[in-house]
Amino acid sequence: MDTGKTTIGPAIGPRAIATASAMEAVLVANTPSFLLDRLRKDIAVQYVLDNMSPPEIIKVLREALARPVQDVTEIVPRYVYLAALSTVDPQDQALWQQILSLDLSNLEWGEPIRRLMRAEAVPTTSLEFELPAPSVP
Amino acid sequence: MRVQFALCAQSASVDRNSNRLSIFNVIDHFPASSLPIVIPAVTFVSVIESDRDEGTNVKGSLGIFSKNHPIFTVEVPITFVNGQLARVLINFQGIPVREAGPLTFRLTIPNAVTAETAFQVSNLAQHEAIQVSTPSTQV
Repeated sequence: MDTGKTTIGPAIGPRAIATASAMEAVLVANTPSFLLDRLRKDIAVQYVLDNMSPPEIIKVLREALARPVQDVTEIVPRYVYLAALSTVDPQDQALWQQILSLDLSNLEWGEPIRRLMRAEAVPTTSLEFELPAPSVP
Repeated sequence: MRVQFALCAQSASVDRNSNRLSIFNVIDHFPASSLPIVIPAVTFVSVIESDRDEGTNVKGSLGIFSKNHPIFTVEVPITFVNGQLARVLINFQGIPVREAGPLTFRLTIPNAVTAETAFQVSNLAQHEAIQVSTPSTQV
């Protein structure tokens, strides 16, 4: 149900990310893990990640969650924002505290998805070394 | 603390979206056409479990040994968030190996655990020489 308007910058309207594929994912999902997996691969989540920083996503999601749902299509952007937050660096404790503080009680699978995101956020130490070439005798 | 696994592979990656780990071309042995040789790329991968609930940072030390001779040592910071798991992915480029034998990667976390893996480096030229000098018995 995209309006066709292209919103640039952090203020991405909820309609811009309630794409047909994201809506389909929300409608056909039978488990929270299926929904999270589908949305993570969805262009709507990529679009959010390309245009918004994690604090901006948290702010917009918090505002959306505070509003009562009037239309079923309003649920889709909330799941999209939540799925986008699964990419937050596992070592960024400040951001994770903000994610954990979100009130997801109005989102049916919000809490199970957040639990999955937290469980999958395993910190990784990634290093690279180039060893010195051996000296020729 | 417990080591879930430790292994060497040609490469490994963590998916940007799902944070899932993929390991490609696990190295169980390395046949060298001649020695000494430089192994172009090896990725050491280990997953370590913490028995503590809270997050913690520890410092480990990773050493590479060829037949127990040290080749390289480096300090590795390891972060546990909310206890549970921590992953270590270390890419090495150009590991010099002078002689055939086990190439051992040992990640030691002081007063905790050691994640160790090894693969055998064999000298194919030497194998061929042995086969030529010992003719097979035919009936």
